[in-house]
Amino acid sequence: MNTRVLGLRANRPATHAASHAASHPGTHPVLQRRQLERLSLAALLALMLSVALLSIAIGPVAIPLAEVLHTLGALAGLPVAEVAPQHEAVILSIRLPRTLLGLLVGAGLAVAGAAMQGLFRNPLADPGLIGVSAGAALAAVSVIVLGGQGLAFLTQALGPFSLPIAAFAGGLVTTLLVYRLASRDGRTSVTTLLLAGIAINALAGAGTGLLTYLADDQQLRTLTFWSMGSLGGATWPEVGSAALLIAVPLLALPLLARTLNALLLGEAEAGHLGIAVQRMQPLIVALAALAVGAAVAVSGIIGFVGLVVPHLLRLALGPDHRLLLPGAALLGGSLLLLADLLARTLVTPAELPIGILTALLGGPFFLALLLRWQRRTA
Amino acid sequence: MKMDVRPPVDAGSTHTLEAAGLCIRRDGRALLDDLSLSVAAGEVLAVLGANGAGKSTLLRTLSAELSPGRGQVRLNGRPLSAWPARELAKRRAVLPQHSPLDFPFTALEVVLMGRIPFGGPSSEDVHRAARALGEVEIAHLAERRYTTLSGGERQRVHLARVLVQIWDPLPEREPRFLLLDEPTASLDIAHQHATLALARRWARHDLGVLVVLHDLNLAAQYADRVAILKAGRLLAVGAPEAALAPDLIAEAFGLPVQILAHPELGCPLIVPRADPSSAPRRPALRAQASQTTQTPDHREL
Repeated sequence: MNTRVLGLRANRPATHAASHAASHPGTHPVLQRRQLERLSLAALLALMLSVALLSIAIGPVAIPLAEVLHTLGALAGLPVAEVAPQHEAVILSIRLPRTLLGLLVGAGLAVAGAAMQGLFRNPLADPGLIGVSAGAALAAVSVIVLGGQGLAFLTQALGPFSLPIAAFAGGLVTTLLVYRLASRDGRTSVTTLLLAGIAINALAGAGTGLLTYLADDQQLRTLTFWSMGSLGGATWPEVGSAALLIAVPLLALPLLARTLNALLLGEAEAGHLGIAVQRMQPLIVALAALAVGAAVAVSGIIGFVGLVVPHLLRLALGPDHRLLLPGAALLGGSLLLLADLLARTLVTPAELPIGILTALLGGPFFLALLLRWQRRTA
Repeated sequence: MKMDVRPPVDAGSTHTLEAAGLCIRRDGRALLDDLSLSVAAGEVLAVLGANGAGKSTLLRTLSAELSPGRGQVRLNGRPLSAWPARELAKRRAVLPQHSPLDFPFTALEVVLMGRIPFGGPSSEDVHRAARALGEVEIAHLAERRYTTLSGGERQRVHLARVLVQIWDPLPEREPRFLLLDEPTASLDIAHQHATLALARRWARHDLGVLVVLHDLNLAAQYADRVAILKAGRLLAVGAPEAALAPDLIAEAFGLPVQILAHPELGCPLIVPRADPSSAPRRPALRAQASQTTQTPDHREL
């Protein structure tokens, strides 16, 4: 009883201080919020790790969490108990690469989405919606279908990296194209942005369709995977190439967070704040296209991750890119793994293409956003 | 008619933001035509002119957003192109007419972006930003989302943002400059005056203010000097009493005006000449003007 009264008394000066915080820099709400923000990043990290463990444990062969932890411990060189070799094989050759690939692709797509939204100064930009994923996919499909013939010089020159590099180039070209179309005098028109996305998606779709028509039976199977998206083909080499390419934007874009914040004010305004806009914009475009291209190269078109994840984070943490970008990487990885978990367990033993699942969940989300945005600007 | 009241171009001056012989052409049209003008530390210079006279182009050139085809802009004696972007940002801040910002930052977070040239926002920066919001009389909106603010409130948030950008004196009192592009456009009349009074207050010996205005009377009341542009050329520049002459205003705006003396301040008070045919019917006034022709319907009223 006594302690509770004391506790109440101790609390009072604290709330009093908060209400007068504006005059005391040390206790200003902004600074208090910053601590909360650090905590929320830690929470997102914990979420990602738990989802990753679940993703390794759950599947046609259920593996106890303890064995998952033991296998991972053994990988890290820790002296841990032996694990059933069959389970160990499933973890090491199937579940772990797939989980890592899901984390990388989800993180890459979400960070690229957040960066593009900053670049376009619009929360509705998404690599899938504005045609970047489709452009990357078209380039990748070209390499698959024409790799033996017209583009043979490319596949010979670039070897195993020809697919991700082609996807990156396709993504880069489409991002630049959309940016050119939708930006005038440092202002971005959302209408033009989305309309350009429709046109580019249609064009890239037609190109992919034409290549599908030319493809042989074996290539057709691969192509289906591209158009619907899947983590099903995850192998260690794929994880390696994705990690190598996606790591660059994952590490570099958060360093550009302040630039992206300034760009939200407008291009001229960012320039007035001392940002080298002409140099930074192409850099951001290239980094975002690299993330999308690499993600598309290993998993096909998985839409809406880049739209939904940054939006959820902005609702919870605000639009500051210093928090948004690392948060998007963590939450993007977690959500894509969750979606993959659903995709491969909902209709066992078959597997849903994950791209269909994210479209089913993300489509209505996007429509709701669009309605709200329309109401606000009407 | 071109008044020869231009200041002599002093290339060696280290306490001005000065444009010398600026020419900018777009699509065969001269936006700025051999324009020379300078703002000195400590003064408020109002730039006036009709729509399309080149006011915004001048401001964009002075802020290094546009580079002139010919001519040069120097800040504290150094050409703009010789300043690193970040150093320039510590010396001059620019208030845009509109910002496309459409993300739910809090007002305080938007103001804090003014500290970007100085590195990450510190707790002192938060303190500065809170005080800047006080300067523009919206301290109570600090934690409100920018997207929920009215047009006038947003404009004041940006004013606070440019204030924190040049908040502290520079070493050796090197002059700072504030460029305001129609800062009163979306403000009510009380806040129009508050904003100009703030510009007046901030124009200290190491800070010069250039403000693009439409309201001639705000310029007459608050500016040390006014510059009038017409078709990309400087028509006149000087103290409001000299430059705001009826013939110059008529030439710049195509509007005949009458200049009275402000009843309290003595500065020029510009009143457009009346065109009776476009005035609403005001029986009482007309009655005063011509007492002999009072008509029966007036008595009924």
